[in-house]
Amino acid sequence: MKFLISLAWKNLSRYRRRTIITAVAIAIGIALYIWIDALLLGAEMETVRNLIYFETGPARIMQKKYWEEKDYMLISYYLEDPAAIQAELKKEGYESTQRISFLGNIMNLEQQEGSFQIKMAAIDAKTDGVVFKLEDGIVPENGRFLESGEPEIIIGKDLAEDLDIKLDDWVLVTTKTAGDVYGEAGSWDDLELKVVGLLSTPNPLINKGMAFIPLDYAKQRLMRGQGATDVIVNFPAGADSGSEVEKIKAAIAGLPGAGDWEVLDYKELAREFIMLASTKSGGSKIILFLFFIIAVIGISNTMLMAVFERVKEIGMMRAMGMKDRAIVWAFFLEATGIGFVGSLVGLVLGILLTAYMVIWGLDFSGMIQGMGNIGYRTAGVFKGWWNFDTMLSAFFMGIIISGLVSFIPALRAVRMQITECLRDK
Amino acid sequence: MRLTEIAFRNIWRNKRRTLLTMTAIAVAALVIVFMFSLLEGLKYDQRNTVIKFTTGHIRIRNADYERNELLNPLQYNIKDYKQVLKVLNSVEQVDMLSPRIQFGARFGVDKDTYGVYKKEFDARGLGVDFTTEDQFQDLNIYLKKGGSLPEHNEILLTIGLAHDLKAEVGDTFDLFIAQTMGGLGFNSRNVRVSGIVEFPVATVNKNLFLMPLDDVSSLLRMDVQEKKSAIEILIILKNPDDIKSKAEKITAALNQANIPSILYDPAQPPAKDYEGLVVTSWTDASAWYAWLQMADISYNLIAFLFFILGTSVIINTIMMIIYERMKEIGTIAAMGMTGRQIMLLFFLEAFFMSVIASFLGVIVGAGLATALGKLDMTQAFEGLDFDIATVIVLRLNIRSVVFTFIYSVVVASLASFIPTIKAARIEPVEALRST
Repeated sequence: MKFLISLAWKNLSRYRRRTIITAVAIAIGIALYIWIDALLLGAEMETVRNLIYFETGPARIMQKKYWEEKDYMLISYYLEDPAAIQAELKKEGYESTQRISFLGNIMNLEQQEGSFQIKMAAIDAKTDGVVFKLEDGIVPENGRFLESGEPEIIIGKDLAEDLDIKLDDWVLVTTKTAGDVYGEAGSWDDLELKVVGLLSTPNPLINKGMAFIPLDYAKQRLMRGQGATDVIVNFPAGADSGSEVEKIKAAIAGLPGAGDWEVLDYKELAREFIMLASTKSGGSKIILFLFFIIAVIGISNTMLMAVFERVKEIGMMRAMGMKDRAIVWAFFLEATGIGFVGSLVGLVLGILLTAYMVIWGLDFSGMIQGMGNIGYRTAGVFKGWWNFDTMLSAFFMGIIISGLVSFIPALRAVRMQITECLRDK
Repeated sequence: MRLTEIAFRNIWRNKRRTLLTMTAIAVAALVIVFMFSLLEGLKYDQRNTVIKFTTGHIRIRNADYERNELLNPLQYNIKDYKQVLKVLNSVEQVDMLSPRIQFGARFGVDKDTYGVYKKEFDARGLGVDFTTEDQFQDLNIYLKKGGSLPEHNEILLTIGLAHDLKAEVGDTFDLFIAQTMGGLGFNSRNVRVSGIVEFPVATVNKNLFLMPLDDVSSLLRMDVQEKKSAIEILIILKNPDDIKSKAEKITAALNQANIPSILYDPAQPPAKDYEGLVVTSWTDASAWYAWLQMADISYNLIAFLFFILGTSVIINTIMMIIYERMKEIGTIAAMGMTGRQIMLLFFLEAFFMSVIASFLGVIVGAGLATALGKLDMTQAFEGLDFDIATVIVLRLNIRSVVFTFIYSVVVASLASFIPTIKAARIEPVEALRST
């Protein structure tokens, strides 16, 4: 075996040109595959990141009934003692915040030119920041974040523009309160609110169609002082959301009424959205697969060629008494060696390319007309996302494919007559 | 012996080598052609969606509506739209017209004991003229579960909305519609579901329903002296090239008929006090167009990466087979062939091989794309709480097929120079000694 390894190594350095060409083929294939995967994933993750930081949060606890009828956002299905849930979670080390999520009709109080329905949330000004990044969306010239207990509101910047609202203007929000009987709808209520901040986040849905009011004020007006529709729980970005959900469920299982609650991660919360977004972005799986085909053909072809060209050499080795098996192994080792070198270079190159895409991204915003109208800053910049699974599997695929492919010509050569081999062109 | 003849014979001399080279070139060409039809299909789909559902090739609206679009100010409409349609129909370039009213509406579901609805479900309503809309959006094709196009007091539900409302054809609903002049008052009307429609675009199916335009106009109190109004008119042109000049013609025709209109110019939006109609080409209905441009750029980026990879595969293969034949180059050089002749010989070999291979590649790729026709992505949607058939239609574009063919021939042929330039200069003995 030691001999075979040293033979393979010698062969690699002996045919330097061939080694280089083959390794380059592998490296380019691997690097580009890693890169395109990072790009496609980046496009998907952009939406997911915006979703977690601004809409869903990592995980959410709410009444099962509220979730069943999520489209209606019925605040009459509320959690009666959200603070107790938060306290239990705190014991397990989970940070959390509570919200009342509901639908409201918003209108410019002064102009009264028409209203439209938006998603709203009443947020705890003190703890909302442990889960969401709304506060980053307000730059000083656009006002300030909410303060507890006041009849005030912060709204998306584009929404404000559509309503012709400026800072310190007043809006009228009409919404339904929770009923006297648990689960029954209440009456309509009008909230007059002062606009104290305009949100400009990387999430266009927030900018275009959401507004936030202080939790305690909303509790008084809509819930008769108690309860909230959801408790949103934070966990680290890279964590496995499935097992985190299980841990959260376990942590709150002892509380009264826990059987009626639903604990869902962001994937479940925004299931339709995530699926629509990923499929809409256009069978990125198919694109990846097509890319994979060219890469594999490139690698295997170069390798096949490199070994086929050496049938004469194989004939020579056989004539000199080398065992067939040893020959096949020697070529396998050599091919694996090239595969390793090529894949390693490809991996490094792929990581560098991806790093560039993750940190800086490609800025095409100059090429798009009328950018101002899209109105959020990420448009036109393509960013990547780390996918270590792909990097690892691409690296090993490069090595394995190279190694396996070498068997085809080597096995064929050892089955030929030695004289045939030697006569091979 | 002529070089072409030698080159052609050389190709068949070592069949295995030729086969491998041609496979590399053919597969690269095949996959690229296939990728192009996939991207082309995606692009077409997105454009078609935007044009058919949102902007038309050209869209006509009231200037005040355009300014306050999100408030959906129904009072700023196109009065007596039938008169406008008549004028538009007289313009030669116009193929199809679709007058529309978008409006917000609310369905009440499950009354409680006090007669209050437990749930009120918001939906987007679209008033259309079903006599022409059927052709405009191919409604009959998308009609599912029997049913027919709506008549008076009937509506057409999209499949997602039908699912949410648990509605079947023939069911009736209380429909609430916000009145025209702002405020929060609602008109209500009891409507019957005449049919359920499933559009090929997932997002459209979510919460939209369609209703006869003239019904909507009166329900929303938009009629003026018995004359019906519409919010917008979408125009599909016979030939969508050079939209701007056609939009100009349409604007002129409207003005001639005493309907004040201007052409929308993004650099110079209509004055604040202008109250007439605005004619907008879809390339200026900016948010959508910008979004499509962005999608196009990402597709071009993907295509570009395919070309880089394809190019590297082809170059590598060609370099490999020529380097392996250094000895041969030495032999022919020793027999008196000049460097230039050698270069030309290998160039021709690569050229012949690549012509055959890329021809086969693009033909098979094109055949595959045509045979598959569309990729059914419905499975990707499993788990969504209503079923949406989403297919990616593959669209073969002759231009991209020809381009791919030429591309692979050029890359392969030029790649032959990389090894031969050096080979042609070395001494024959050097080349003969080469391993």
